[in-house]
Amino acid sequence: MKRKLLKQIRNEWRTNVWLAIELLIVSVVMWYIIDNLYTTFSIMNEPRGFDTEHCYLINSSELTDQSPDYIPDQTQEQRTADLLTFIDRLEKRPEIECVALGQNAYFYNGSNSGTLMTCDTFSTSGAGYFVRRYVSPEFPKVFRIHGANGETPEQLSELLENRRGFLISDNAFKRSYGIENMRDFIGKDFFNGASNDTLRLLGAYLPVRYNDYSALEWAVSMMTAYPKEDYTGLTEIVVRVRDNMDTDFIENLMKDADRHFRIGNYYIASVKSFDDIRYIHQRNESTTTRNYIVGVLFLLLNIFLGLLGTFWFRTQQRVPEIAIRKANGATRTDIFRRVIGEGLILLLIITPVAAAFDWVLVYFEINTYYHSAYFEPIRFITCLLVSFALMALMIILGILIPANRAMKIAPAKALMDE
Amino acid sequence: MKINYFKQAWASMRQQPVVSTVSVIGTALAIFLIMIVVMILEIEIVPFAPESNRDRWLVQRFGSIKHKQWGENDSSNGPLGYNAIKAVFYEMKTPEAVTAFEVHPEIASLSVPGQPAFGTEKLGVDHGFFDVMDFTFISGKPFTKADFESAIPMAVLSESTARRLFGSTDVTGREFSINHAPYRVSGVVKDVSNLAKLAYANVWIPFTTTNTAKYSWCSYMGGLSAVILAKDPSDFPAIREEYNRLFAKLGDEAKASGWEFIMRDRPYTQEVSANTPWANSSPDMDRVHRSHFIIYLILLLVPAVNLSSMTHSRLQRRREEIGVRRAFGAKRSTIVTDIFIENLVITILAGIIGLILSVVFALIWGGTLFAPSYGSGALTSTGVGIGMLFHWSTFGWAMLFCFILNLLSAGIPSWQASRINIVNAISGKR
Repeated sequence: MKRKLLKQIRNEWRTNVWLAIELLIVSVVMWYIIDNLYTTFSIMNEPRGFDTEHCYLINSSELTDQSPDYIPDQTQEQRTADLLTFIDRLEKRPEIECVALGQNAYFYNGSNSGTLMTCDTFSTSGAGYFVRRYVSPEFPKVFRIHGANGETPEQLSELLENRRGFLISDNAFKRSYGIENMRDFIGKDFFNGASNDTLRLLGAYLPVRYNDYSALEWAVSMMTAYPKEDYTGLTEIVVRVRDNMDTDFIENLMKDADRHFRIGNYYIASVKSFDDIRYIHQRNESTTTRNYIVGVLFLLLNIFLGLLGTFWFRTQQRVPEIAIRKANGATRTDIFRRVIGEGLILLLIITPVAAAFDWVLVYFEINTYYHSAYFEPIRFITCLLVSFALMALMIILGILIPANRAMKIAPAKALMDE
Repeated sequence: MKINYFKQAWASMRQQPVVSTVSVIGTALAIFLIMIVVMILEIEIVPFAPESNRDRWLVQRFGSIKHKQWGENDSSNGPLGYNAIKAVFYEMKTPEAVTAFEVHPEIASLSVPGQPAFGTEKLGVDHGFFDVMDFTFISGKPFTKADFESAIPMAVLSESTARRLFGSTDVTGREFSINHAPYRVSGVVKDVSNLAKLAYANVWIPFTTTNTAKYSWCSYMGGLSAVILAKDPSDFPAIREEYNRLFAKLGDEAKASGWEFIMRDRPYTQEVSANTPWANSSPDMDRVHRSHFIIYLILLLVPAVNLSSMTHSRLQRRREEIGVRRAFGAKRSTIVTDIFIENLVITILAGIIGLILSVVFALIWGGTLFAPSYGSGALTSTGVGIGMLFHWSTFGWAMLFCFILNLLSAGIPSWQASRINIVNAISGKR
């Protein structure tokens, strides 16, 4: 039976070559896309290390001399006092849980600063882009960053109160030196390349990723807190709102902006939720993922249509043959299996060829880079199997309608022509 | 023999209703998706109001500079400062108009006394902005060169912002405040789509009234972009020459303090500008075209192979007919041409369906399909209209892709059909 099926495939080689070429192209393109989606979704499922839910960015600014309210010639002390009042008033609002400041610090931020931290012969140079966050001590509380040794965000905040110290992500030396955690470095002095000063390591926190699409393996960073008298150097104000108190938060705050938050030269220009900031920041990546998914659907639909069309024609042509089979005792299921089997065997034949092409893509490093590699056996095989399964499903769906028709052929009627 | 291709195509479709329907759906789907890609790429490039003259633009979003003490590959890249704008762009004589404006709109707080303030996109621009961009003024007019130069706090509002502030659009001369500084309305314009990436904002003010004019480092870099509007694209070489001459003059002055401009082939046409998003990279249009080519190739090739197999199947059914025609002296080329044209009729029909579907789809889902301007605070793009999506060039592209698709899908089957053995074909042998 199997051998006959192969012979039949050979007899129809002209149309089968077309189908095989189509399946081959689709299989390779599909593998490439599935490989990309596989990594994207793996990365998205990695622990993020921070939580921006119920968080908001307060876009505050200082008046210019264009404004009649502008207070000229303010001293640094006056500016700091105004800013501290500003923060204090935010903290006093019942719906706000905590307030923090930062410089190129908040998450999903397009503006970043980097640095190089060196301790003895160890440095962060090989770790990737080492993000430096200048913050106020409350920063870990707002974004719920946890310590590597089980410290709560509150405990990290307390550590940051030490003005000559800093916190580091636990994976800072993992990439370059294979050092799994920073426990042995706590209490040691590091040289901070960005400001040419020395900071003492106060603790380590669980790595915080750059965004949802950026892999954990690249998430290396440090945080150091400014003392209160330097707060005017931190231009970003972020707040965490208590759970379930988000309703109309922005509207209510803006309503009070002129009355409560016009302090000295400070004012609130706008308030943005981190849900929106995140969406806008990741628009490119999410659009790419969306386009890839649409691409997969398009390819699948094409296979469906291609097989539907070809097999419709084929079963039409083979009515007498199927009728003879039926007359000789083939059941409906036999006929059904036979027609579907033809499509699936084609797919089985091209899959090793497609795998070879996929391998070429891997060899030339055209596919997606993840876990420091273009090739991981599990990823390669999973993606191959997933694209095989999706294509097999489409083949079955596409042939289903013609096969169904073939099953219903009444032998006597079909053979009447002969 | 004269053949009515439409009749022929229709008859052939009726003979094989299922396979023909599948072919039409396959073709329409392919053209649909290709046209969506074309629209996503074109919306960055084709003109629509107020960026109606994109084809006559030369764009300078950023500049690049390096210092002689820096490393070989070091450079600093970003918007230009007001000094550089004045020394180069405001000195140009060849263009129809030039404008300088802030690189991104910024969220500013707008208010009138007695009402809560709200945040919206504000863009600092010069008077030339309203010559280069094609705004529709509902009331009032743009601020003048004199207003700009004397830093008079005047503002042009978008229609919806005027309504939100004053509850009306006839508000020329009314006062309001931007970031707590008083401004007077000089005019109100129709709302601008945030897909107009350089023109978009909700309130436009002279940048001389903001800190942007003063903000600068190394005295050449700052916060400004510029657009040169040529009288005609054929003036581009002359404008570039003038631009290079003025930049060279400024470069001589900069050299005294150790600075050197990196030109990176600027200014760019809109197509190059849209595909060179980063300030620190020179355009690589070959790479861009190559990646577009691969996308189109895959989108065309897969359906083409698909349709080819179906065309082949359809022609198998017509072996006798072709055999008879050959027996009566039809040339091979005639057979190929006839099949090709007949198929093209079906392809174009399906292509038009695909094109219409893509425009309808883009009109309904355009908000998320197209990415709005970077500085826009909005999550979705606004004001997607038929005028932005459909151009004769779009139609031209659709027809071109139909033709290629047809060439790929009917080419080989029709060639094979023309080579059949006449005797076998007529006798029904395979």
